[in-house]
Formats: sequence, C-alpha cells, structure tokens
Amino acid sequence: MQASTESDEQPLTAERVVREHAPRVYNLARRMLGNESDAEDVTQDVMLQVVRKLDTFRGEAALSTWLHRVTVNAALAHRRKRANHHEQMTEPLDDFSQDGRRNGPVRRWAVPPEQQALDREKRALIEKAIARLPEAYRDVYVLADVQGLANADIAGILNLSVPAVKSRLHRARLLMRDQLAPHFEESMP
Amino acid sequence: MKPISCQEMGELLCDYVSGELAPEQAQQVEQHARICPPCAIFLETYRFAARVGQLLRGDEMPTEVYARIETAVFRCIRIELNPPRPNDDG
Repeated sequence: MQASTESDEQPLTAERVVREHAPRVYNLARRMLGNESDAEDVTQDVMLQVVRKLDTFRGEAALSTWLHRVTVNAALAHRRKRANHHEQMTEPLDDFSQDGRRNGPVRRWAVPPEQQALDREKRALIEKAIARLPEAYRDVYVLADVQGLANADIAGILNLSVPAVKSRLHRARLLMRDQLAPHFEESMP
Repeated sequence: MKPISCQEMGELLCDYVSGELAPEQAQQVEQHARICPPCAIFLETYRFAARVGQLLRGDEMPTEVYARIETAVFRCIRIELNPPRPNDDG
C-alpha cells in the first residue's frame, strides 16, 4: 500500500508513515490527554485512519496537516468519552496597578542558555506543568509551543477564532511561568 | 515612537514572543523593556515559559508502545484486505 509524492523521492508507504508519524501523534495525544494509555488508543486509531486513506494524500505536507487535525479530534473525542476531567488551576495572575505599572517584584531566573538540552529532571518538571494546565489552555499551548503550529492553523483545528487562540495561549504561558518560577528563580542575595 | 505602560506591554507579550507583532509594536515592547527592569525580567521568563515547549519537540515513544501500535494497526489492515471466508461447513 503506497501513494506517490510530489516532493519526496521515497514512496509514502504505510510502514513508513507509521514509523515516522506515530511518535509525534502519540506525544501530541499524551500531552493533550495527560495519560499514556489513552494516548496509545488514540495513536492506534489515528494510524489506522491514515493507513486506510494513504492513497488520498499528495505528499508529506498534506499528511502532516491532516494528522494534526485528526489527532486533536480523536483526543478531544476520547476526553469527552471519559468525561471525568477536572480543572486543577486558577486563572493566571499578571498583576498591574491602576496606572498600568506592574505590581510586586519580579525575580530573575537561572535559565539554561538557548538551544541547550534540558536534563531529565527539568523535562519531567515541564511535562508535569503542561499536564496541570486547564485543558482549554493545554491544547493551545501544546499545539503552539510544543508542536510549533501557527495560531491561524490552531484556530482551524480547534474551531476557535484567532483572538481566542491568542488569549488562551497567553494564559497558558502565564500559568506555565507561574508553575516554573519556584524551580528557576534565582535565590535572593 | 509612543512609549507604552507595563500593562500595555503585558498585552503585547504573547504576539511579541510568537513573532506576530508589527515591527513598530515590537520596537515599543523592546523600548519599554530597556527602561523597565521588572518588565525586562518578566519578558525573559515569559519567553522561557514558551521556549520550554519547543525543547520537548522530537520526543520518541516507548519501544514497546510503538510495537503494540504497529502490530495492532497492521493486523487490522490485513483483516480488512483479506477478510476471513465464511465457514463452508457452517
């Protein structure tokens, strides 16, 4: 089972698609659902769909866009089926006084340099912070800041307006910042 | 260029970090950060909160999970392509 591609010499075979795309689908689903077992179910479902439709794709770009949409839809459907989700966090606080000045002190962080890989402990910390985001914010953060999708694409996938995507992404980043602060703030002199 | 307040900078942060601000607005953010140390630190830490997501890209999946998915998918496909024949005796 294979489809021809315009931009890629290698044929788009079922084996290649599963090998190259299953990890990304699995990690997107795992972060959206916060659960490895559910992510496995979603990945299997999405991979089956893609293999069945393989003949209809014209190249990697079309496949990649389609995979994001189908994975998000499958994860959202899985979440609705569970229907036992609970929001754990309050709204993020970005506090300003009446004259528009920032309230309270802001402490420096000891952050690793750009491009430096994170150690296992820090990665676990960040994964935990993502898992604790409210679902509406987590979905947008994962698609924007982990997967690297443009806001307009996320709006299309989640059926939201672009301003709504930006609003959720801002709140997600504020919440991520709040959660990471205790672990990265430099100690007071 | 019109200076902006801390709050106005806060409202532009998301688009600034996403690289979606118009050049003039981006300059307003940068100008404010130069004269306001708390906002400069906030910008740096907010940018890090976005950047850590990028650092997780390219994750692998557990080998045993991949093996289970691969096996299940191709088993289903094989059955769909070659459905079992009805039992002649039945």
